[in-house]
Amino acid sequence: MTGASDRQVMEYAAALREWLREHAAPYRRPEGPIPPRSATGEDAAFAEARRFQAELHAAGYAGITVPREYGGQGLSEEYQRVFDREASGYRFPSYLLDVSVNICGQVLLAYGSDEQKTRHVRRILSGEEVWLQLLSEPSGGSDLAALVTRATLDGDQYVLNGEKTWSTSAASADFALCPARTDWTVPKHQGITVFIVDMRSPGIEIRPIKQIDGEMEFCQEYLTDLSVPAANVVGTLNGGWTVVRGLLEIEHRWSGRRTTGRRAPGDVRWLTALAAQAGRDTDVAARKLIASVHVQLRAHELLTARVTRAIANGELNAGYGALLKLSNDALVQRRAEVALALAGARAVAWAPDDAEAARPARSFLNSRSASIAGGSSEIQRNNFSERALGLPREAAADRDIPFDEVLHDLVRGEDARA
Amino acid sequence: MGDPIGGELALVRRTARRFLSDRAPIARTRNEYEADALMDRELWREMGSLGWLTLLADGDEIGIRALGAIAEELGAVVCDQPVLMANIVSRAVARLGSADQRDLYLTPLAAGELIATTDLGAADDVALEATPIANGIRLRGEVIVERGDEADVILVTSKLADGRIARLLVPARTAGVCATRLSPLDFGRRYARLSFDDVTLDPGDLLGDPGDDEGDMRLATALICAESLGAAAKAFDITLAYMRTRVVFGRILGSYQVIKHRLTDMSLWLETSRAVTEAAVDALAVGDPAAVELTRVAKAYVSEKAPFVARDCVQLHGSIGFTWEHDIHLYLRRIEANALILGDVDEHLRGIADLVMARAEAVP
Repeated sequence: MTGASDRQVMEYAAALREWLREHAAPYRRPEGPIPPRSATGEDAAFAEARRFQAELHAAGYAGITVPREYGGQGLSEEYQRVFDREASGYRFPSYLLDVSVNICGQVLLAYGSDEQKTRHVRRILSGEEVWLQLLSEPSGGSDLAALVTRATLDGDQYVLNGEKTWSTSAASADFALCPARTDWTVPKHQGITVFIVDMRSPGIEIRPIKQIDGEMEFCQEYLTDLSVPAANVVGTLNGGWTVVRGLLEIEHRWSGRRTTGRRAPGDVRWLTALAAQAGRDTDVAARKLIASVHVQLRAHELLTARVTRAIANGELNAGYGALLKLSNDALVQRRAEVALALAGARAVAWAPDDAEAARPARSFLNSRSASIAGGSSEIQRNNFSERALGLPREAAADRDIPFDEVLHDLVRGEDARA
Repeated sequence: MGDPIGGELALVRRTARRFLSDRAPIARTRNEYEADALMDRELWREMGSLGWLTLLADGDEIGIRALGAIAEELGAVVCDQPVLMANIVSRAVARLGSADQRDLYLTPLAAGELIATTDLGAADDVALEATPIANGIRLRGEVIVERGDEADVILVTSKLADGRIARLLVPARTAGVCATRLSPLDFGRRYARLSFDDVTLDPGDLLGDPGDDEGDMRLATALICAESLGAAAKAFDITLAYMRTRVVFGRILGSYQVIKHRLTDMSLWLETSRAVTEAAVDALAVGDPAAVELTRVAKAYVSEKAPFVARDCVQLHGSIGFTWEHDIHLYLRRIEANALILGDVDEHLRGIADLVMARAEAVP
């Protein structure tokens, strides 16, 4: 990839802005909260997502830095940054394909065979194929490497059995990156293989997960005697942890990119309206609550700008990125807590079909996941203290023990000793 | 603070750090406090020769940024020299002073030949009454001023009968002014109560016109945040270093998860304090109207969180953190006191509510 002259970049930006004006005008980023996604009845949304992704790809705006031989434009990072900046004012319907394009596609480019890349990457970029990552399992919790989905070789096929969970939009996906255990006799990190799984296969049952706020944004998957060709191994047999670590790194970098492109995280208008509805907008305590959320909003915005800049120029090490998640999660939860407090009795009971009146209670319940999903607050704190402050790693009881000898969830009444 | 002028600010910071560690380390602050000593005028002159005392007299952009960087370094040693207040006074004189006042004060102030400080008169809190009389202005009441008993000139805030604010440059040893040294929470901030018992000041001592406001309070507020930031960052570094070496139950303290998590939260508060303080100082430096809101946000945030950091620093030291001899409480004192002056958390939250709720309600 060659570097770009200032003029080339400016011309690119101008052409992009023109294209956006012509093709993306209906998708200017809306005010207010994004409505929750439902795992059921997604077909129309995904059809629209695929359509727009195809348009982006045809115009040369999907896979900007991806090599041309795999369907991208082969341009430098600079052009990607231009796109991110210009696109930050929009919410394309293809956002549903973010994981597919920006994570799964990139993992294949980094770790896939030439055949896999040739077969899939172009189709991912054009929206023809929608991909998913199947990392979380019900038994695993924060311990990703302790996955127990089993993959057994049978001739030239692997047979997979197990469960995956907390996947977004599994029913709309064509393929998935699926880590499974291929060797139980070695320590957990050393016995994992990543497979490309066809999500339309028989042997995969997808069920929506109902959340505490009543929504169904995620699915659980049951793999029963699922056949996967041996050619679908990504990377090497038992070398899957390298691929998973790479995936997490790609995900981390991508969400850092999104944060910089994003506009300010909202304001206190909704909270002010709630206070006014309750006749509390002149109440000193209510005003103090609202002001404190405003401070937290501004503080988070300024922290994000500062830490992102400081990591980019080397002033702070990359581990400081964890502070941004901690700050964001605390903000999301505090805002919802304050909304609940301001709504008062109105959040205890509301008219059945009044979506606006349901908001304080619903958004409070939904906000509880902020400190759990995407790496819990506890994990973030472990990571920060170890990477950024250089403090000793957590003691681990299972690091060097063969996986089949490690302690798993206790059944009630059994002795804790192995 | 923000560094758009190449490495200049980094140089200011490095020079300040080196000078202070050599001439005014925290041990000196402690010794001076315990000896109840008067200000070291030689040190003050040295600060003058570094250009520290009139950074704001020539214009704001570079001066405010430089003073912000210096304020952090002053906080890191819990410095007991009234550098910030002196700058507030010299800026006020440069902008509002008569030719006579500028001639009289600016040069000796810059050189550190004069010590100048000011009270922190918040508009709704002014305790000094001013009454114009035949041959001057009569002052009655009390103010509390940093180094008020040692300063050569004090810029005091008073209120006229009609409610307007009048500021006056009061020379030391003015007849009728009685100074009483007070006991401070902060080893490095020595206060005196000045009582004005029907003191007559010359009309030439009035600074500017009644009601003039050059944003001194806002500037002082942002600089105090920078000072607290420097103190909190240093206290954290000391604590982190201790967590890496102190062994309990056969493990270093920093290996316990609860300690790791505590230090992470403290880091979040520190980095955010830095982000909000830098934003306020930068906005003030370039005259951005957003400085009004940003300064309130900074003071509200730092006044709450810097004390959290400092209190946790004491906690993590265990009982040694509760001894007089350990330095950690000097940082605690500075940070707690700074949180209470120039408007505490509640006062700034009230101001923010007025700003943002009016904005919110204005949207149809």
